[in-house]
Amino acid sequence: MSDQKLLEVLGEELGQATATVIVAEHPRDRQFIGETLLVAAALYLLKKYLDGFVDGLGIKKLGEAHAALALQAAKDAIALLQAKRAAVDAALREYFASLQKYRNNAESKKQGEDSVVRFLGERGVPATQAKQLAERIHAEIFNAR
Amino acid sequence: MLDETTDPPLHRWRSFARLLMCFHPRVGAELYAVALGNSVYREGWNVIYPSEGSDRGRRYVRVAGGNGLHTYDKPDDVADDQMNPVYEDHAPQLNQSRAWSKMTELGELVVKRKQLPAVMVQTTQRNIDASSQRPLRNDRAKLESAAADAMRHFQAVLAQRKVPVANVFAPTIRQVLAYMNFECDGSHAANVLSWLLTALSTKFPSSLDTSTDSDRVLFSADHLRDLTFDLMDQRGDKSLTSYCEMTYLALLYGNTSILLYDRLLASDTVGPEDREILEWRRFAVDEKLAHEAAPSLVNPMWYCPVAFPESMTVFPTGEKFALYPGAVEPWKRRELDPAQRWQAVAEFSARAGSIEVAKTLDDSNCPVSPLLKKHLTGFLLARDAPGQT
Repeated sequence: MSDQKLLEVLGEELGQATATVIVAEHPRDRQFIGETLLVAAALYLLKKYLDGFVDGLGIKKLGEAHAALALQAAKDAIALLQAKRAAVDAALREYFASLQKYRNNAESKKQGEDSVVRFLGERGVPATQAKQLAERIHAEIFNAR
Repeated sequence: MLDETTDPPLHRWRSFARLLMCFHPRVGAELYAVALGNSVYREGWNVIYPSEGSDRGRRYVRVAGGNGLHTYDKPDDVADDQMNPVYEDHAPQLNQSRAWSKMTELGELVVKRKQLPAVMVQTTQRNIDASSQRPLRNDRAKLESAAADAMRHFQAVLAQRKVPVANVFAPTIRQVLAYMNFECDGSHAANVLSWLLTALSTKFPSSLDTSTDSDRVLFSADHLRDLTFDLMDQRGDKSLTSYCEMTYLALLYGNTSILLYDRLLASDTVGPEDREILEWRRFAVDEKLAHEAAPSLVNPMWYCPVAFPESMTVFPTGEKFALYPGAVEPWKRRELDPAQRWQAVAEFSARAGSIEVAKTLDDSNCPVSPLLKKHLTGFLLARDAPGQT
């Protein structure tokens, strides 16, 4: 799968309900999710996974390797995708290539999953569903390559 | 077990029953009208009032192309007269709605085709009509009556010794069954269920359990939230009937968990940090219901062959996550022939597994959390211990 498609696929996988809780800044305000926000939610969650995955591998985190992807909040992902979509796709492509040799590293996979489960848990999503999404992210990054 | 794919009008009639009873019949009829393109919302800012003449529960919705916003805070840069007012209690009476006239027509057809006994159809429709006459929210008199019944049950059960713990929480199962059988609407069922779970969490002290009253209410809310997400996940490879019933049950459990989170948020025992955690959990389950559960009850109108006018008008709300999996492929290839769409649904359903949801209520889909069962068991053990009177 091309990296350009990956964010779309992950966004569709998340669905509007989960994407809404990812991009919301406060649980009292909810955005109606269109295509852009689905993709932004996917990018933000992907970054959470990658930050956990590379922890301890001696690899720079996504935001350190590519300064433009130093996302502090989901709203940064929205702004970034609107302004520099092509640059995001290129950065992801390059970054994923550097990760391929660690695809079977069980500890990294676990840390990536934990990072996603922790973040989604803080956003009210049950652990079972959060873990399924984390596994899906791993599969999208590694299995189809 | 009933198989709704055997007769399209039967599925369609039961779909209307679920739609009208999942919250309140007038709300369900309004959802149907919206699915047909008759939305009360306008492009730009809308201000929503639960009741005309009251600012209580007021919120704001911006509708703009593919995106939008729902917020409780008034937008700074928009004048009052530039916002479209929406009064929720202006929803038309049930007997003036298209959903109701369709459902009653289908009821006659279902009886004529001998798919259901006439008495069952009439009783269900009478129940829906009676529910529609009650307030949209907070039917205090009916809730108090249900609470009084439950207290009498608790007293009668506790007058006996060595009672199984399931007897103590039996009213919760009865309430869920009443909802599943269309004897009461979801708004009432969720209010009663949240009251029952709170009562079971707080009125039976046990020296064998170190959890607090609030812990047990929170575990009940989380348990129902988890069941809601599980039901929504697991429905995807099930028959049409199972899929619809699991969705209908998820709506009850999700709405009940929201009421329990609200109850905790309103209490003085919750600190600021815990408050934020509860608000996010409430938000997550609310979104799950809004995007993936409630739209599923409108979608059957889209692919059913005896709903030709609707099938030409209605777009499938919620798309992938709210459309029955057997209807996704025909939707993707823009299949217009309702009979072809129905055939795809029936074929998928025939290959899928089935569960009789009502039979899972005292096991995998029990509304009472394991922690609460353990607590109640501890209460009974302590009470029945030698030396206790």
